[in-house]
Amino acid sequence: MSESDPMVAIRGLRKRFGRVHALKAVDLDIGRGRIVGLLGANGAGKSTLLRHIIGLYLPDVGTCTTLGCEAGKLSPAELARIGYVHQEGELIDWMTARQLIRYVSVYYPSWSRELEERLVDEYDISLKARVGSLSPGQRQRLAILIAICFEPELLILDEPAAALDPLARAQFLDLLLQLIQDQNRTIVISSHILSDVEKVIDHAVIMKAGRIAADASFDALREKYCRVRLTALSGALPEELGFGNVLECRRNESEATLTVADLSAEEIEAAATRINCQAEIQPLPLEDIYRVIVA
Amino acid sequence: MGIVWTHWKVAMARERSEGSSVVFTVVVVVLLVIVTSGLPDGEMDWRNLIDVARHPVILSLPFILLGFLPLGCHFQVHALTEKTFSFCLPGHRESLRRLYFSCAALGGLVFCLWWMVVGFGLGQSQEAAVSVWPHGVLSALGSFLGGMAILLAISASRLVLHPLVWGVLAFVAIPFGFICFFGLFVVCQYPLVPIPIGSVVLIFFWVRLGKMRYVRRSHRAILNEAMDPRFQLGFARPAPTWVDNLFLGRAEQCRPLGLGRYIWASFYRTFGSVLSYWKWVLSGAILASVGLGLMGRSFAEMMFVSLGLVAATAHLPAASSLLLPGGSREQFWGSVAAGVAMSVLLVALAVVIGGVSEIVALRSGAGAGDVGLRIASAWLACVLVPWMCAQRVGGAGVLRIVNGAGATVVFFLALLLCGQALDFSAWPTPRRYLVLASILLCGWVLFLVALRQVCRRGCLIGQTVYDED
Repeated sequence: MSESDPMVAIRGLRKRFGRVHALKAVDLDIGRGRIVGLLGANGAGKSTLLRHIIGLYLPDVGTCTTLGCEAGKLSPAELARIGYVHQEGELIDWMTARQLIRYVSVYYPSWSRELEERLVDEYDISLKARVGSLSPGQRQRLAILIAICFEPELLILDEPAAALDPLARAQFLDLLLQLIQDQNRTIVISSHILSDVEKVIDHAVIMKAGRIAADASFDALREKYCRVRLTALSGALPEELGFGNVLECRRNESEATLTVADLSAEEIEAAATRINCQAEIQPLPLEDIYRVIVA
Repeated sequence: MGIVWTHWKVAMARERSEGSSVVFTVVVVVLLVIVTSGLPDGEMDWRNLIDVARHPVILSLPFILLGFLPLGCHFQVHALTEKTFSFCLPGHRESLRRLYFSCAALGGLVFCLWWMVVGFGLGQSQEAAVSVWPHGVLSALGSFLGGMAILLAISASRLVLHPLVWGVLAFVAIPFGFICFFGLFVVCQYPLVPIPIGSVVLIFFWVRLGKMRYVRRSHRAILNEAMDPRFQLGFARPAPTWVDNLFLGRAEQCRPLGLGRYIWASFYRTFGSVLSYWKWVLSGAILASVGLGLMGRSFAEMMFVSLGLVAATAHLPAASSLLLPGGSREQFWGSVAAGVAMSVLLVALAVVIGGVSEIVALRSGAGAGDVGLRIASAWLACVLVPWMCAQRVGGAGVLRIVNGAGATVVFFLALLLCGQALDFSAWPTPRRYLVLASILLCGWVLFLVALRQVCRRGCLIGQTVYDED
C-alpha cells in the first residue's frame, strides 16, 4: 500500500522478544480513510505490529511513524487521535461502567456525549455495574465504547470481536462501517473471524511468521484469486486440464474445482472451451484467499 | 516420585525465569544487612575483617540467600498444585502429599541451618552451644521440624481444613507465625518445645493430605473460587461520588491534554478505590493506635513496615496498559506525583497512628517504657515507599526486576528479618539519621531511574517475554 501522506508508515521494522523474532523487516503504509484487515496465524506478529503503531512497543530496528510522528514519541495531542481496543481488554475492575466512562472521557477534549449515549443504549451497557462483574462480551463492548467515543482518526482494533456474540458482532461491524462512511476514519482491524472482517475491509495485510506475506486491496486480492468449477459438456474431463497458475485442484470424472491465481475471466473461458468444458467462476472468500497465501 | 520431580523441575524453571527478581531482592537484602549490621553501639570494628566475618548477621547471609531458592520454589510448586486442572492430571492426586512434604523438608533444612548459625552465633545460648550433644542436635531437629511445620501450615492448611476453620486459624496464625518465625532463641534454648509440636503438625498433614476426601474438596474449592465473581473482583469497590468529584472534577478544570489533567485523573485511578474504604481505614487506624499504645515498639515497626508495603500494590500511570493520551513525559510525571502523594499520605497516617498510640500508652501506663519510640518508628513507612514504587515500576518495564508474587513475599520476609535483626533504636542518633536518609534517597533515586527507563526508553506496555497474537 503506498500513499503520499499515509497515517502510518513502517520501514524495516524488526522486533525481538528474547530469542523470538516477532517482526522481521516489516514495511507497511496505511492510507487515510481505509479499513485495513490485518490477518495472520497465532504468533504471526499482528498484535506486536499494532502495538508498534501506537508506540506501546519500540522497534529494535527500523522506524514506525504514526500521524506524522515517531510512534514512540507520540504526544498527548496525537495519542488523543488514536483509539485502541486490544484482545486482553484491560479495564479497571473496581470502577462502575459509568465511572470508567467518565474517567476515560476526562482525558479527551473531543469526547462525544451523544455517541456515548447512543452506544450505551445500543450495546445495552449497565452503567451501574462494576466493570469487574461484567461478562467478557459486555467488557468488550465497553472497551469498544471508550475507544470510539472520542472519535479517533485512527482506530486500532486487535481482536475486538472475539468475545462478542453474533448479534453484537454484526452491530459492531455496522458501527465500523458507519464510522468509515460518515467520518472518513482509518481503521486497522486484526481478527481471526475472517467472515466478519471481509464484510468491512477494503485492504488486507496478511502476516506470516513476522513478515508481511500479502499487502493489497481486498478487490485486488479477489481479482487475483478465484475458484473455477469445470463441468465436462460431454464425457469425462481430460487428464490435463490445461490451466496455468493452479493452486488447488479437486476433481472427479466429469467435474473439477480449481483455485487459480492471476487468470482473467477471458483466459479461463478460453481454456475451458479448449477442453470442451463449461466454466463457472466464483470469487474466493477471504478465508480461502488467506489459506492460499499462508499455505 | 516421577511426578514430584517433574513439578520440581517446572518450579525451578519458573523460578529461574524470575531470576532477575530474586537477584534484585537478594541485593537489596544484602545491602540492608551490610549497611546496618555493624552500626549499633560500635559493637564491631568494621576495619577488622575477621570480626566482620564472624558477626552473626553476616554469618546468616548465606542461609538467607539459600532460603530464597526453596522458598521461591515452594511458592511456585504451590501455584502449580492450585491449578484448576491439576486434579485431572494422572497420578497428581496421589502425589500431592509427597510434593508438599518435599517442599517443606527443603525449607525446614534451611530454617535448621539458619537458626543454628544465627541462634548460636548471637550468643543467646553459649553454654548450650558448647555442649553440642544433646542440646545442639535437639535444636537442629527442633528447628527442622518447626520449619517444616510452619511451611506446611502456610501452604497446605487450606487444603485439609474446613474453610471456616482455616479462615479463623489464618487470622490467628498471622501474629503466631511471626512469633514462630522469629523465635530462634526459643528453638535454641528450648528445643524440646518445637519437636513435639512440629511432629504432631507433620503427622496431621501427612494423614490428611493422604485422604482423597480432602484432596477432592480442596480442588472443588479452587474451581469454585475460579468461577465466583466475588473472588475475581477482590476487595476493591467503586469510589463514592465525592471521590469522583474530588479527582475527576479537579481534572476537568485543568487544561485539556495538559499535564495537570493527566495527573489528577491518574490520582483517581491510584487512590479512588482506597478512598472508598476511608471508614475502614479510619477504624483500622484508631484500632491500630490503641493496640500500639498498649503494646511494645516492635509491633509498631511491624505495622509501619506493612504500611510502607502498601505502596507495592498501588497503581502507577507508568504500569498501565490502558491506552490513554499520555506520552512518556506525562507517564513519568504522573508516576512521580503518585509516588510522592502516596508517600505523604502513608507517612501522615503512620505519624498519626504513632502519635495517638503514644498518647494511649501514656494514659494507660501500659508500654510506657517505650514512650516516644512508636512514633519514631514511623520513618519505616517513609523509607519503604520509594523502594516499593521502584519495585512496582521496574516490574512492569524494561528493568523487569521484582514482579512475581513469590519474589514480593520473599522481599517482604527479608525486610522483616532485617528489621528483627537490627535494633535501630540503639543506634547513635546522628549516624542513624544519616543512614536512614541515605536509604530513603537511594530508594527515590532507584524509583526515578526505573521510571525513566520505563517511560523514556522502554515499551509503554510491559510484556513478560513474548506476545501471543
